[in-house]
Amino acid sequence: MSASLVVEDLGIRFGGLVALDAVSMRVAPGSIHAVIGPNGAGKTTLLNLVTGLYRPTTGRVALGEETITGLPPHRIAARGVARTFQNTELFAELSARENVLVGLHRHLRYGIAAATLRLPGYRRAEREAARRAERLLALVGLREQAETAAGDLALGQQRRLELARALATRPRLLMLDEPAAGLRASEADELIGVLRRLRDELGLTLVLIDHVMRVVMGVSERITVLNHGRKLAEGTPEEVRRNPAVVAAYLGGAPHDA
Amino acid sequence: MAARLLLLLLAAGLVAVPFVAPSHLVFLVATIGSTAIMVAGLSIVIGMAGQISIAQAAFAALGAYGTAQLAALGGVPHWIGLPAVAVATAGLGYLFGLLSLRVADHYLALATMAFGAIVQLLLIHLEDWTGGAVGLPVPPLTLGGRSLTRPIELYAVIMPCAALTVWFLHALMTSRTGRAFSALRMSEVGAAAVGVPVLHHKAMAFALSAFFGALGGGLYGLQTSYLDPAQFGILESVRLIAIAVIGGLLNPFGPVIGATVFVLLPETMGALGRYMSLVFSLLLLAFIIVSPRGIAGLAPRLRPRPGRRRGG
Ligand SMILES: Nc1ncnc2c1ncn2[C@@H]1O[C@H](COP(=O)(O)OP(=O)(O)OP(=O)(O)O)[C@@H](O)[C@H]1O
Ligand SMILES: [Mg+2]
Repeated sequence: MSASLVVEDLGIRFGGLVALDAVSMRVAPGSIHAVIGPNGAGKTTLLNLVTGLYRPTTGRVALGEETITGLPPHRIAARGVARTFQNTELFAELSARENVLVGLHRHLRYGIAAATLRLPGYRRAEREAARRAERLLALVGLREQAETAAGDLALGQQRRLELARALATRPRLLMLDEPAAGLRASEADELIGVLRRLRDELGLTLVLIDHVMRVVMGVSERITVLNHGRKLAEGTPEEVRRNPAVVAAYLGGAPHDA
Repeated sequence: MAARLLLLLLAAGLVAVPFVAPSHLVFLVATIGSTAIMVAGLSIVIGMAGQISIAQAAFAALGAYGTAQLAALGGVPHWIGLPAVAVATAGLGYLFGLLSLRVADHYLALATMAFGAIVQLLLIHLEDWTGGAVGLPVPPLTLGGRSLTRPIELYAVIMPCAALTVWFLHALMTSRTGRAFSALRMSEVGAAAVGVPVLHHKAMAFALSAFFGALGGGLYGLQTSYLDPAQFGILESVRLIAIAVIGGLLNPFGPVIGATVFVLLPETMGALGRYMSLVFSLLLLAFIIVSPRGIAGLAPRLRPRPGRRRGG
């Protein structure tokens, strides 16, 4: 199920601003890999490049053996890359359940004709999708909120719904953009548990962007540190914690500790 | 359950209409049907997919003129010509939707308006094909050598099409395609991130809107039996949008409700009929402000929840 992610010399500029500058990293299959760095370091940009939202000006992205550089987002999603967004991108007027059903879009294989005629293929697929959606909502603790419009959910619930929607695509690589931001310590601990389970039970490869050190240090096996669009350091949590360059980068603009 | 009963009553009423109502009223109800079919296209492209289209009258014109001329010049019976023209127009709609790769939002809306203007200009200037500004007669629908021109006969053809269109809207809303439309309306980025091909779905929404525009336009042409370019201008496109909004964009019955108001109200207003456009403009404004979900949105309990599972 899991896939490795290889990023080589990846870079992008917006006008005069080099938001990401020749960053390389390697995420082992089935591992949990964090990307940290001060505000504006280029973390979200890196994620947008990997998932096809932005086209890189330099470099290469590969999933397992396959190069996916420059593919449109829906094709990259089809290859098993799912993500969440720093400022959630849910379908606000749709119910939580429908949000997850959209996540299942690619796995529902029937045409408009089958839906119009309510053919058995349509019924079977929708029944199965409804079951999967229910399981996923239960997994993230939103069973009670299944019929609530996504826009009416609390922020923490929206984050979890986006996770459920991402999982619905059956990813091999899951990339989370600051899933712990704004969570209480107890919720953050819960999140750590969920991430571990995803890796252990579904065999996902996880890339985790976060500021919250409690989560990052607690769960990740390797950490890449970005600063001003460049890779500043990389290693195990222990190595990164002791790296003088990292300490220096964080002086003043220290990472918020939860 | 109440909704089912209401539907049954509605169906029974529609079957009874031609037997009990004067033929003038039968004609009006059939006009509601053909108008609702044109408007259904807008429910899809504007309501579900969130793409403003000011081209619906142009698609209707292609349906009406195409069917009429296939019959007049090619001898193709409407039974074949109308569906064929609707499908061809859908293809054109798809290509048009691909434009959204290059232009988006307000500019796409402007592009649809330009398309509408171009079609109307072509209707006026390609005189050999369209009869120019004077227009052309529509050959009647025939069955077994008999011409079907009486209101009752056209009613019998149009109303089943309208019923099927309402069913299609419902089926679409509860399908993966309809959900993908809604998704891209609310977040294109989110939709693409879960693997929904956004461009393809926008183009599909335009294709479906063109299909229903052409189908409804073709049927409407059979009713009026005469086509001229003035019927298919930008104002008509705007009127169709108003009907869609007032009826309710996200309800399968919205087009029918809106068309009922727009077709019947002028009939009941007598001398005030002169002020119809003013009345409709005010209505449109009122609904945009008070009930963006249109008349259908005023009765939320009757609204079928999209995607609800039957029997829990
Ligand atoms: N689409 C864009 N157009 C122009 N500049 C951009 C764009 N996206 C990102 N940037 C710039 O690139 C830099 C990196 O931004 P990015 O969002 O990747 O930072 P980040 O590490 O995710 O920060 P944060 O912790 O605040 O989320 C910033 O200076 C940002 O303004
Ligand atoms: Mg960010």
